[in-house]
Amino acid sequence: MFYSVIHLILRFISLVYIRLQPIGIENIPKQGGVILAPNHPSDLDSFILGVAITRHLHTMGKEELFKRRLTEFIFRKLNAFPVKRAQIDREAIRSAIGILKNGHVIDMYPEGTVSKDGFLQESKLGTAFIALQAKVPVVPTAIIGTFNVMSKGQRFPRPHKVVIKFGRPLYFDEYYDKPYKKEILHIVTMQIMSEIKILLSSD
Amino acid sequence: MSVFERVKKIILEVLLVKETEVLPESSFTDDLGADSLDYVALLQELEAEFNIKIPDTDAAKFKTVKYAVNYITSKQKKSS
Repeated sequence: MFYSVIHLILRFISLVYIRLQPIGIENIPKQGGVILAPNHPSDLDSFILGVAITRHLHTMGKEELFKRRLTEFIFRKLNAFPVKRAQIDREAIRSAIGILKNGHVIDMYPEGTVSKDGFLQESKLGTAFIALQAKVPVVPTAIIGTFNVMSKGQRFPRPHKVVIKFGRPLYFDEYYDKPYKKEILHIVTMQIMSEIKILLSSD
Repeated sequence: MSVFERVKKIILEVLLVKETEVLPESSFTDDLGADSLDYVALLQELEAEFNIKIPDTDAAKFKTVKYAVNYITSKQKKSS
């Protein structure tokens, strides 16, 4: 209920303030666990992504956001769960896998952190690791315009058009239940990143 | 197979290092080149192999092969 109300309010604001335009939303499977894997130009990306889709989005949030009771209440209601950022957080990984196995949608940023200049950064392997462990598809996603709305370090959002493109889901069934291997994670990550690049550069 | 041998087998599979590199005093990061994701995978495999739970507070102390072997051995003793 709380999520739906906030979603409705933010959707209205997004349509007016940032003229949010989602493209390819039909590429998100209607049910079952799925990872949305976008580039990460702004701290606002998860909010805007959540507003752009109709399914409820679960998201990792830095643990500092959960330290105060009020913000913890709000973020939990918005399906966020904490992650320790300076280290690999096994609890957060377990939570993400559990949420995906329960058939929900999570956004995971292969770059791992917000881009300072708005351009695509080097990727990390965490998204691939979780996708293979949870055995779910990955929807490569391009977020265009949020860097102009609120870049890293900026406090207040500015009005600017935002387009979000959802690519076709990528299935990695062939790698499920295989022993842990870095090469496999690199292959999966490269595939996700190359699809994001294509989406970012296409009209 | 001893606990050390079973741990060693998992290390070889996860970290793809040479058998001769895996010694009791080997450090996971410095000697065996494990990064944080390798750690997660390694701990997962150890939990599955020995049917134990390794809490995150304990996992942070897994610096060497010897520590892992001793930890698992003491866990097994407690449960038997």
